[in-house]
Amino acid sequence: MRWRLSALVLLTPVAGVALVLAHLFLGRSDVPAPAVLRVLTGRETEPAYALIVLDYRLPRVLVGLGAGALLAVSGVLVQAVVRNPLAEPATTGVGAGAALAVVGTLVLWPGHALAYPAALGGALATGAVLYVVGRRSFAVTGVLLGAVLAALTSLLLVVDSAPISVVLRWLVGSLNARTPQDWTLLWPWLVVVLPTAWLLASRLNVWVLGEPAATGLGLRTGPVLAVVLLVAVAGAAAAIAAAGAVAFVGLVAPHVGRLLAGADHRVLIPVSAVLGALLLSLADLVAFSVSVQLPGIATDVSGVPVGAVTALIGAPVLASLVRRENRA
Amino acid sequence: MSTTEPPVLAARGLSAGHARRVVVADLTLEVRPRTVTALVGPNGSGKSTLLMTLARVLRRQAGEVLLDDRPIDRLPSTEVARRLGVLPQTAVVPTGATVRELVEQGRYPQLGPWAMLRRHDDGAMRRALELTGLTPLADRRLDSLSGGERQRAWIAMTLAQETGVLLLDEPTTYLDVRHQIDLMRLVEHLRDDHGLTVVMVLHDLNQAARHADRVVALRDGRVLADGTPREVLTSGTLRSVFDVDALVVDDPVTGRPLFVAR
Repeated sequence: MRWRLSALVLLTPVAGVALVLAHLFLGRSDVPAPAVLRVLTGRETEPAYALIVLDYRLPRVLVGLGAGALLAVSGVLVQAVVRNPLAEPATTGVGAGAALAVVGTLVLWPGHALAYPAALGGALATGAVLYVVGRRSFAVTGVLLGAVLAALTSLLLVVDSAPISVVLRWLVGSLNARTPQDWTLLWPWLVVVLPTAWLLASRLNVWVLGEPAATGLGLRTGPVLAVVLLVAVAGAAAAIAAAGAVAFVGLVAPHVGRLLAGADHRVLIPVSAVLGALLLSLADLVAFSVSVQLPGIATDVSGVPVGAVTALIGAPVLASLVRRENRA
Repeated sequence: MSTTEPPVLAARGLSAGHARRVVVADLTLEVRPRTVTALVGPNGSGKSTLLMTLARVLRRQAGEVLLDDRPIDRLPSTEVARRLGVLPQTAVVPTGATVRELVEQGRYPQLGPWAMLRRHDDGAMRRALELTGLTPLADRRLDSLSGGERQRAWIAMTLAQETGVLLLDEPTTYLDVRHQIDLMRLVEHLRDDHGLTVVMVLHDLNQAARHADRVVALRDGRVLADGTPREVLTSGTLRSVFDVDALVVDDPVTGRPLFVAR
């Protein structure tokens, strides 16, 4: 466990820098490498290059890293709340709530740029409903809530299919066309949610022992539960509003984190945050690099949404992790 | 055992249960300091409910629980946890946690949530691991241990709390004979050398007879018999409490009552 952690501490900064550079140098539009270097050192005279690197590529990688970290930490918290390592942010239904709110506003007020506040508000409102209704069993209530909200979204899309292309990025999760404004809206959440989550770590270590043991140790389980759920929902809501309901990052990152760092939340939370950031950003690198050609369709789609990649990679990775764990 | 000292823990007119079902009704019980009390009774008699209500884990429906003569629910929960340790029956095993990490949680009430953001490995933890014979297993993962070893890890966590009162719900479950004996000796040692007060739910009547100062027999949420093992463990009470026809003889080793089913 110790050597794994040391390796992680040494490798993650390297991996992080490599990922950021890869994002800045690669991309779907052609910017020569020397031009990227010139942009980064402030000596580029061609404004189009500067625009692409600083206003498209940089926010994209920053939002990817930030949303990945938030999803991972939210995953750790949700798993702690329901005391089940197979839970994830989606278990709370907040992603479905965000999607419904986005579709709802697009149907009711088409042409208005309400997607970001709608996604955020929908996610937070779902979290509030979950807390009020689900006191007995969050996992079951959250999954049911998510199913109901997803059904309502489908219903709205059947009635009015105009918003489908816009809402798809919230349903699947995508980092395409992120702007500096997205990063401006995201980073304050990182600054609040990540440290707050870590400060809850010692309480979480007690909480996961179960209600009777936690009460016996003097933990006031009611208020702790409310705060943990609030932070988990806030983290997921901010990530989903920025990048959509990206699947599996909130499940896989805490899982790998537990393999590397153990169950102690004081270590698990920062380790998962780093892993989630790297994972989403790496998946995004794959996402914009691949192109898909479907038989019978003339245009080939280059650059798939990152949510499709995380699900395609995440599912087998998770399956193998569960197998390994059961064998160990 | 002194009967003049004020009780450390007391229930007055206590009713408790789950949801609307009353399991323990209007029960009064006083626990004297430095004694070992065994709660016995058939399944569903309310002994675990009583214990968990004394531990303020279950909410009472009526009456009151007093810790050192003060209503337990008026004391801050961490304050209670510094004086009273609880070993619940159904404990969740956190995925991937080690024995040491579990035992460390016993320090939570003493150190508080902020200090617990740093790792701790103090004397209390080492003593708790030592007393339960878990020092060699301290860095093993809980999910790689046997049921008995895991149970001892939970007992170690409760001991690391270093409280004056221990409430143990079926502490000998999952333990093999040797570890059952070790645990009962540990309980006696804690009473004799550290002045601890222990209340525990036991299923094995002979264990209760052998190691408890006082046996409280419950049935249908009421106390049917209460006293020394010799007073309580008679053929008559065994029949009225457990519906068991039994012979009670003298234990050739301890001289305490020994129950043999007929």
